[in-house]
Amino acid sequence: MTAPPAPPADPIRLHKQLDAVWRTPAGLGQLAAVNHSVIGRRFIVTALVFFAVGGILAMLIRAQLATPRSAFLGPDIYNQIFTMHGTVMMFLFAIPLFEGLAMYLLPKMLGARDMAFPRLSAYGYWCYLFGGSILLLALFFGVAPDGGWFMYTPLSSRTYTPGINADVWLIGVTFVEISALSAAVEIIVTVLKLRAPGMSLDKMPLFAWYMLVTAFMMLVGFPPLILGSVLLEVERAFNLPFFDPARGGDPLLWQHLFWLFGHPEVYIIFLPAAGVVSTVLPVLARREIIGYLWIVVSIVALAFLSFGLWVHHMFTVGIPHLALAFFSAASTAVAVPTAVQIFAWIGTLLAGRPQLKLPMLFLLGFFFVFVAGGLTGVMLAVVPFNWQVHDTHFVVAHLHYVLVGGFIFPMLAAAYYWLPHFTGRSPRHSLGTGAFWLIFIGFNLTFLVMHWTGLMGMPRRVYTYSPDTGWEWLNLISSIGGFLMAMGFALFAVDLFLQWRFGRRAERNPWSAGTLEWATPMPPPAYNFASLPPVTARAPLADARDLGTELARGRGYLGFVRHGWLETLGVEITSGRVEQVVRLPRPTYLPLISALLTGVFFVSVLFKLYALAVLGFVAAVGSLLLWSVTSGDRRDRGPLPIGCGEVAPPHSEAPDAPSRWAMVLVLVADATAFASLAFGLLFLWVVAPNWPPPQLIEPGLTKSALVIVALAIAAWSGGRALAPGFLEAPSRRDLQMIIAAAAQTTALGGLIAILMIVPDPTRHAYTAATFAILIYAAMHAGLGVIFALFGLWRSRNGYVSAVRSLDLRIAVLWHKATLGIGVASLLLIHSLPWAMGQ
Amino acid sequence: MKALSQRPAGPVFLALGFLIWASAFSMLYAALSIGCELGWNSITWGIFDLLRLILFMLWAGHMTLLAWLYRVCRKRLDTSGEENSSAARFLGRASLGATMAAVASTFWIGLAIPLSSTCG
Repeated sequence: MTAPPAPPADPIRLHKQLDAVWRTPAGLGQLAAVNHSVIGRRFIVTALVFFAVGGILAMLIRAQLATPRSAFLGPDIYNQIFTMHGTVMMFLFAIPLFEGLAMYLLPKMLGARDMAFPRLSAYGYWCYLFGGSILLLALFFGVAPDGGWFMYTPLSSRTYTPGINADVWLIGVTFVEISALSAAVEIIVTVLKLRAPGMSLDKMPLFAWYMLVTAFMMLVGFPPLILGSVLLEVERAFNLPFFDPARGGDPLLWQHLFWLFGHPEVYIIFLPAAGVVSTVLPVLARREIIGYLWIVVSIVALAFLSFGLWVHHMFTVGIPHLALAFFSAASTAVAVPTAVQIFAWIGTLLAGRPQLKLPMLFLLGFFFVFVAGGLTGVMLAVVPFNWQVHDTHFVVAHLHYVLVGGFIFPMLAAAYYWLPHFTGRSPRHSLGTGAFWLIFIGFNLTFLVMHWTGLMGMPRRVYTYSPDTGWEWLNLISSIGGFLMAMGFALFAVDLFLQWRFGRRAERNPWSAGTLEWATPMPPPAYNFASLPPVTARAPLADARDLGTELARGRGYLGFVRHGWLETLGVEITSGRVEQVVRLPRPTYLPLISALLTGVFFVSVLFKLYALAVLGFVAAVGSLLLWSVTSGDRRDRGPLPIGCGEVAPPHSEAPDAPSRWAMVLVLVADATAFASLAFGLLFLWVVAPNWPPPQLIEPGLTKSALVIVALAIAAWSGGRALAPGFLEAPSRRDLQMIIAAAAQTTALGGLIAILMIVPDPTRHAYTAATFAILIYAAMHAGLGVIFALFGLWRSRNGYVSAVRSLDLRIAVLWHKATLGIGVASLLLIHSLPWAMGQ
Repeated sequence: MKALSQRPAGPVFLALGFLIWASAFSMLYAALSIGCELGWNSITWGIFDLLRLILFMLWAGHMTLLAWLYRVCRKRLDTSGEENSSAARFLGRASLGATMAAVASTFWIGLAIPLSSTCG
């Protein structure tokens, strides 16, 4: 252990030293950016551009529907426009916007210098940009998706959508969802591990709690959608009949997989916005939020309950009454934790001394609109009412009240609240009040009226209507309201530009807030804090107003630069006790290259160039492995001084390093995808027509036993490499990894042999699903070979020692998961024929 | 090794109650679907049928599990003294609250079992 580098006495010199190592290079170097502030801003700006696109599409919809028998848009174009409006707003605007906000804010609120995996943030951003661009280009060339943002089969199947339109949706959205999953892993690990010393879970800002729970929801919510998209694309491209009832498939399987994602998605969008409300409202009410503990409980309850509602989108498809009752009960129950939060916010307003500043105006708009949307949500949860208004404009009105009320209004409040932080500027003359009233009045004019249009029977997704329906003047009012709202958003955009370009220099912490993001300079430097703060309270700035100045002087943790490293601290999850020094990567082009290669894979699949797709996939995996070359350490360093008289080991020597958590979380998402696939097979067996299938899989128990034994050996030998007596002896350690690689190769061979005896997968959904499950297991074994060989390479190149075993521990997690998935797959495919024979 | 009820609360306990709720919800829906497919609802004894009995037992089993979890959370909270950190006490209280919410949610969902037709 060496003494810590002495912090410079001069804060300016400390800033220069830190800035030199943390700053993103200018010019083309910007493409190598991995810093969370840069990536967060890019997410936000790109999402706002997509919002403008989605808004223009909405205007086209309202122009078309303003009058009956309108010839403004034909049905083909209209179908593309309403499909793209929903797709853009849900996948390219809402989710990326809060991801960007979280990436920008979380490290600052938590007292860290960056997110846990900066390169993953950058990779996610590029995937989002490229995937979103595929969708927009398709719109430009007139081949955009046109089957609704939910892509229901059989409309989106090859028979009824023979062109490329549906493929664009399936490929583009799946590409974008890589960024959502990577953001989920990134956010969870950052919140759990990268906090300021002393920031225990009970002292964590509520925004971090909201984002933590949201990220977990994304982790288990997105895999069913990704799986469904893959299955539908495989059906369209290779004729495997997962959704074709004539061959044992079922269109309802798509609806289940889609809404398993789609309903939690509403709460995935709402919760970050609620986190904004819980952060901004107490500051403007000038008192601590009421019911911190019960808000945390409500978020957890809401997250779980939101996964029990998906069938309320399918109440009319012919599901048994008791199942309807289960989902109806869950749909009504979810209102309770939402109401707990609403009452906590109202209580805080009542007990505080609220100031009617601009962000508060938008929060009041949120209360009005979101509560109204919540109430119609309870109405829709009641089955008989739902049957009456299903697929009418009543539902369109409800979902816009929930999503615009529950997301856009809080995000507008967030924009005005945090804009000084982003730009370092405060407004001279704000146009925000005018923007608020235009948006608020325009919104209610558009969508309040739409409830009546729906109750009068106007269906969704129709491009025109006849003049004798009685819907004419209601639609005209909705369209006028829509254009009014658009003017409000345009005014908001102008206001942001004026504030950014011509605003006064903002004072530090202009709202007198208590959270740590206001302790950074404004706009913040790349490293956020010159030294990291010790935290003893939920609102650190409330107790120490000059904390920012003290930190800038280096009077906290890590107030120095060591070996030119980018360092932040990792803590124990519950207590916030310092556990490790986390070394972060420098700017690199690798995330961009990996995203481009991933793009090669997706675009090749889109254009059915499968040989190129395989090359793209292999190259993308290879480029991802290259990331590891600059990670880790080739020598043991022991505990490092971190300032304030304390020491901590580097993360490569810590038992609970962030990357281990990342692998655990990836495996959670992986298990969810597998469970969705298994659910698909069982669902088809139970519900789909034309079962039992004409031909079942041969038993092949010897091959299956061989696969399971091989996978068990891989898991065992991978673990043995970490055991005392092996870990410190390189040759014995390496031998175990060679055994693991050989075992995984054997398992892969066995699974391929079983795949060969599966009857033709295009004949029936049973064989198609069995085939898909075996492919899933085989891919795990294939990646298991890579993990074992990668561990061997790391071991032989000095990255592994008795105290640096992170790479091997991560590999063991994969081997164990592969064993679990292999056993579950083989049990499922062998037990189902037996069950069908009973 | 300390008994479960004497250890300081970990973050996992915050989700445990609702994980049991999720298990109850999934199993009830799966059992209903499989039972309808296999005709368990047509095996009857008076006003009872096999499917409803299985659903009731699944529900009651999960309610029992939740009752046990509630007791564990309660005990942990009662025994958590000054030696536990503020974070552990916070997690103890939050876990108890989340478990109570999970009990209420599971009870609410199960109410439909005796009241609604099963496979109709």
